[in-house]
Amino acid sequence: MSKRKRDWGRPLARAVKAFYFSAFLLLFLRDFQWQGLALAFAVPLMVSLTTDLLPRLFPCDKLLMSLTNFLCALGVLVLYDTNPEYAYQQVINYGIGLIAMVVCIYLVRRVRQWGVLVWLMVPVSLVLLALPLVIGRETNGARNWFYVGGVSVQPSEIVKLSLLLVLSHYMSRRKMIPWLMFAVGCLGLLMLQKDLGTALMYYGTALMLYFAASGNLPLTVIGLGGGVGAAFAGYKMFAHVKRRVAIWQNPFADYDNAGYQIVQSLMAIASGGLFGLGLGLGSPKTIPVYHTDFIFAVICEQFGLIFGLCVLLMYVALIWRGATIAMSARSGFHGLLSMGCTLMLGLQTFLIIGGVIKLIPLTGVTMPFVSYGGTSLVSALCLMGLMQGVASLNEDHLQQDAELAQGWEVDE
Amino acid sequence: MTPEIYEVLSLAMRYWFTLVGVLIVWRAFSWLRKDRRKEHKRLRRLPDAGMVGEFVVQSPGTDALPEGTILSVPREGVLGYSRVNDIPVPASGVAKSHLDFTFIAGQGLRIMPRPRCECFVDDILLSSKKVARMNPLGHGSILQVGDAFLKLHLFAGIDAPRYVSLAEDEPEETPPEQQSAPGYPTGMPVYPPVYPPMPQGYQQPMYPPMQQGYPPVYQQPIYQQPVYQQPVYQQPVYPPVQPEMNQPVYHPVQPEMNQPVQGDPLCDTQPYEPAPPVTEPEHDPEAIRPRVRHSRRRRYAEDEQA
Amino acid sequence: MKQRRFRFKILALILLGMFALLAVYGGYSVNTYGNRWFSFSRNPRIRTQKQNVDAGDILDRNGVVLAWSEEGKRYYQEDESARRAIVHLLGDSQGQVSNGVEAFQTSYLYGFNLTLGERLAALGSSEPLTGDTVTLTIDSRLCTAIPTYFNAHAETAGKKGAVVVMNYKTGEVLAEISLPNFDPMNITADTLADPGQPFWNRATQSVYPPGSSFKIITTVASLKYLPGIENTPITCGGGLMVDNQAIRDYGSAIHGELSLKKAFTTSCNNAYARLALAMEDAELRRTAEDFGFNDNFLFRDLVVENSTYPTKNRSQFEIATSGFGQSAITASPVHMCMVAAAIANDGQMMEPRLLRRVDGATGVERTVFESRLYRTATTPEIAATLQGYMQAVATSGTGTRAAVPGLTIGGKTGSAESSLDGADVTYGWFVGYIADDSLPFALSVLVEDIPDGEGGGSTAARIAGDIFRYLKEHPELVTDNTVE
Repeated sequence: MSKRKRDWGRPLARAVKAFYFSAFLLLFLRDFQWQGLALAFAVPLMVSLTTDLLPRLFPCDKLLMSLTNFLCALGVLVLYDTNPEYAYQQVINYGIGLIAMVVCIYLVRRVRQWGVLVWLMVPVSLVLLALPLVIGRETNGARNWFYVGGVSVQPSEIVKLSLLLVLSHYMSRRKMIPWLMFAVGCLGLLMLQKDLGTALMYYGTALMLYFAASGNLPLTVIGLGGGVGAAFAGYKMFAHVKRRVAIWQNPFADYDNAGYQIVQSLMAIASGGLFGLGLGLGSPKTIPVYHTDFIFAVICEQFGLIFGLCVLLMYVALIWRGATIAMSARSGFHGLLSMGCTLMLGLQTFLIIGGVIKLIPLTGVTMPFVSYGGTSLVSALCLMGLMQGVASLNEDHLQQDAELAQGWEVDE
Repeated sequence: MTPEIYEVLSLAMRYWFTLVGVLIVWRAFSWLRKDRRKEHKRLRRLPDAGMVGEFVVQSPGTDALPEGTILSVPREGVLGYSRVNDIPVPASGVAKSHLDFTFIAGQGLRIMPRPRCECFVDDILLSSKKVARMNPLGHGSILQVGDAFLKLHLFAGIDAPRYVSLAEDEPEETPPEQQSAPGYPTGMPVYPPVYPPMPQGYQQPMYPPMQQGYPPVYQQPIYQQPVYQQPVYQQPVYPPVQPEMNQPVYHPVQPEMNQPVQGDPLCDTQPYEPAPPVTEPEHDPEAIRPRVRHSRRRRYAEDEQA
Repeated sequence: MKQRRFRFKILALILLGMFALLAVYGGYSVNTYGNRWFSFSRNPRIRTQKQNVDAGDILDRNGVVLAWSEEGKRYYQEDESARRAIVHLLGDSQGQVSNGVEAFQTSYLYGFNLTLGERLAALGSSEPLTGDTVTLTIDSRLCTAIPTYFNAHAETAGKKGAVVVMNYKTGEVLAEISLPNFDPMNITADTLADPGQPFWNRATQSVYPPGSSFKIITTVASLKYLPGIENTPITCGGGLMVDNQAIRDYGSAIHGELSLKKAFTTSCNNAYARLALAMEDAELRRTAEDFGFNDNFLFRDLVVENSTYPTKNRSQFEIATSGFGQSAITASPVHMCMVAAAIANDGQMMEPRLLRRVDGATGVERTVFESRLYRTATTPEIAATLQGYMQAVATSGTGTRAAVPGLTIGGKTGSAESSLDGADVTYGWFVGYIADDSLPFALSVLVEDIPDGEGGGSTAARIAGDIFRYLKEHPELVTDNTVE
């Protein structure tokens, strides 16, 4: 009986704190930098704050908080292991992200009329997405970010949120044209920027959300077929897509140039074995883009495959929770919103991990929560915020139901 | 610390990290499982959670859909013939998915018929969305789909038309503070709503009345009073006869039904009282409250007795 | 809405399915390819490890030390010819030979598998860490002898080629030779520039048309798909015309009416062309695939190039020539040895193994490797029939030069025509085995570019005969897996 009533929040938080304390302590012992020791205390403290204090102040879902905590701190840990500068920056990003998350929670709770807001978001988002084409820089063949006063901004991450809001709003009203045009517009802009991974994400989420909202299986299948056709067309038309697929099939053929990234990643994962090479050991920096795209390969190298599987299961838990929240949502809009967030997160994680282990070609998306990147982390936390907003609304409703039923005698 | 010693230490620690990682995953999933069980328990205890009311089947009285069947009405959903719908109506003339409905706080249950499907709300034909918007269902309205006649009862505490925002952009989600959560019937929904008989000579006060909470803007073209034959109910005594099972007639939920809810000064010695504001459901501590689950059955049973 | 909730559940399940796919694929691919990725020469972790760890010893099955490290330098056997003979198998310290034992087993040799206790112990001592000792299945003396057999015969002296000797009951590889070879302790600029490509491991990395040695598979297919073929006479008329091209036998011989066994022992191309045409191409292909063609070889200890049986654009002529192993069929010497081994082992093809055991530097046992069945190539009955045919080849057919008095030998010769750099070249094959449970060895010999007028029977078979004689004189080479 007592086992069933056990509150899992505290044991989970304890385990997380123990993990990070020991991990940072170990890193501190490696090179005796005071920052390591500071982080060894700061990170568990942060975990406590967010899991104990935050739920008291703002309405939020404790399980989601714990899981996102773990993942964000994992990112900080791996970054500190490889390049401490990134770690400090990531901590700051995390702080900003938390604030943004709280803002999102309140947004969902307070805003009644989404129509006006959504109507405004459409043009603003399209403009934001178009900005990199105008003032952006090109990296790795994709032009999807630009500088604003020294900070790099990736608008596709911001537009992710507005996409979800727009989709949920219009889909719950059964008004197909507005969201379809917006989605097509976004996809088009992303294709122009050659950010194909994000385009794939947007497309997948929109398709699945449409299926959830309307249940129109024939149209969904047509949409899916259209997407596959577009992918084929893209393969035939774009040279760099061809290159990516060729590398995916046999990276070792060109291991010095085109296949270098994936070859290094595979070697790292294989070197890790089941338990990893050890924190602080190995050569994580030989993996290109180890701080963003291939951070999962670094995790597998240092902590091993079993731990990598655990990280994967963390994301599975997030998805499960998100789906539960969506299913208990009271109104169509909120249900679609939270399901959209879940789908977006799930798709993004699938794309990046799949690329790292060579299940699918590399797509250039980052790993939510763990990857280094201001906009990436903040937008992922905003997604969390939206989900938690819906969860808190569910809680409120159930609370009221329970209150009403209070005092009723059981009449048996 | 020399690199060799660190190497050995790190190699030893990796088992610890793996272990803690697995432990964290284990606890996270146990938490998920526990939450799911809690959710199930809650839902079992509060089966009407999320429901705004219920449809009572007036006819056809077939085996598939006998008279008096209760169909729970969620906040929004689909009504149709097949069982997968939120409101299954196995009657002839009903399409597999006949219409969508959404509860709009302040207006009632809005019906949106599917293409090529028709229905009647209080004898008004709805076939297009535009007409449907103008004619939401309220408490006591009768929805006719195919052969089935369904009478809607909204639960206590539901924010049915009390005030209306004529804005095009209707709120899709009522603020929790304003809206009382789907409540449990605080007693017998009085149906049809009881109107105090009109004694001769008594002149109905001009509507809209001056009670608070009734904004003068309220229009009520929707509900045709003639549906309810008042003479049927012998309610010589005011307040109504229905014994302890009954909450007082002053049902806060159906204000639009309520013609003068307040006492008839000629029939009753009770002072003219404005109906209480709707915000909280009435809890008469003296009334016997039936248990939620069986309450509906009881309600009907008592009704027969009365 | 009930239905929307249901669809949410479906979507969540789809996502979970995708993640399950990720996990399963990740696990599978790391399990199968992990060692290959890790051992890839460009792996920086190996380079860093090499600076701290002395590579472990490599021993042959009798305990002869083939390679060891001293003060960071790698030493090989004293005898130069011995060194040269196994250089392709062993690999060299520079990594010129791809996937030799030195490179492929780095995880053992460079101490990636040390236990924690050993590392702690090593902390205290001042000696550098040493990797594990790897015991191979090969016999270094046999390996040293084989190149001499090449040079012992005028027809094969100085030729390039490859030899693989296997134990067909356990799959252990006893010898893997590739000629030309080089001296691993003496790699010069000349060696690097040698146009004969001495670094290339012809036994595992090169694929050649098997020629008449493929008739083994055609015979198996005929026995399987053409009922009663054993007793049906096949006509060999000398020049079979298919698609306006003539198929001729060696020396334009005309064999007249043959039984299947006679066709096999005389290696009649015409007869086999007719057989291939009598069957469907799909049937012959399926039989070849049963024997491992078109398969992606992912052996644990060896990296072997895949053998192919073509699947597209098959004209009648190509189908006919497939019957005797021409057209675009390719196989490596290792694979052909496995084919002979399968027949000898009653249809069970064992996976080729190179490692017997791995021990820690201090002598503690780490792993003892077991035999694995690779696939069941054919039924015992058909295998028995083939055994009879192959033994006839050695007694009265084209392979008599492989016969050794006192041994029952089975084999098949082959002369494969191909073209290299525009010129016609003939490869001489011999695949065979000893039909004796106490000497369960199979081998394949390949000689490149045999002179005109010679065939596999006069070149490769001679070398095979020498090897069989060696094996007869060294019965101690057969020991089971669980050792000492």
